[in-house]
Amino acid sequence: MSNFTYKEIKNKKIYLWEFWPPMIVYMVWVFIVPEILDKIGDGWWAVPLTLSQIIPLVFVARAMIRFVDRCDELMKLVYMKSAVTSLIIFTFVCMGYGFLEFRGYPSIPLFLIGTIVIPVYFMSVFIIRKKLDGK
Amino acid sequence: MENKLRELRKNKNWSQADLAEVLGVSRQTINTIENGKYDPSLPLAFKISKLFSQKIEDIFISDEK
Repeated sequence: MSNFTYKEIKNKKIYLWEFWPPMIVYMVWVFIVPEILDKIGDGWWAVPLTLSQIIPLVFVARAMIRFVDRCDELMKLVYMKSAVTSLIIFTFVCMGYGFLEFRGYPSIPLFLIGTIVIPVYFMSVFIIRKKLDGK
Repeated sequence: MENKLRELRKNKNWSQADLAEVLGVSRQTINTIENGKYDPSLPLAFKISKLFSQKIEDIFISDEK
């Protein structure tokens, strides 16, 4: 017996169709842009071209938001609680490391923020779901 | 909040997945409601009440006295 209802399976399928195309575009584009910039050098268009790497991620974010919108009420609550939890943890981590930076620790590039936020978020989802499942 | 959802579901010989399918929610939602870990929204409570042809207050029993 499947643990998922028809609605959940359909929701996941739609999500994957909306998530992967822009993600693939991003993964390709993120390698192409530095090549282009290396070849044609700096100009006024260097900034928009660099920022264009974010555009596919906007569609990735849209897919995620639409996925949560289609979820049932409990899962919406889980995702919302996880978002708040990860935001708080992330804020504390950033502030903590910020204090360390004042003491001479090396600065972390802003680019790496995603690698901190995403695992914390998914860990929060896992813990909150487990907590709800426990009797 | 306590509720009689498990009892009502078992009377109909439905699995949690069956009930979830009928109500358009996840199996986990049914499980957490049955275990009293989650109180459903008013629209979902109305759906449950309609499905089992019972009043909401007969299915969900408030802890407050």
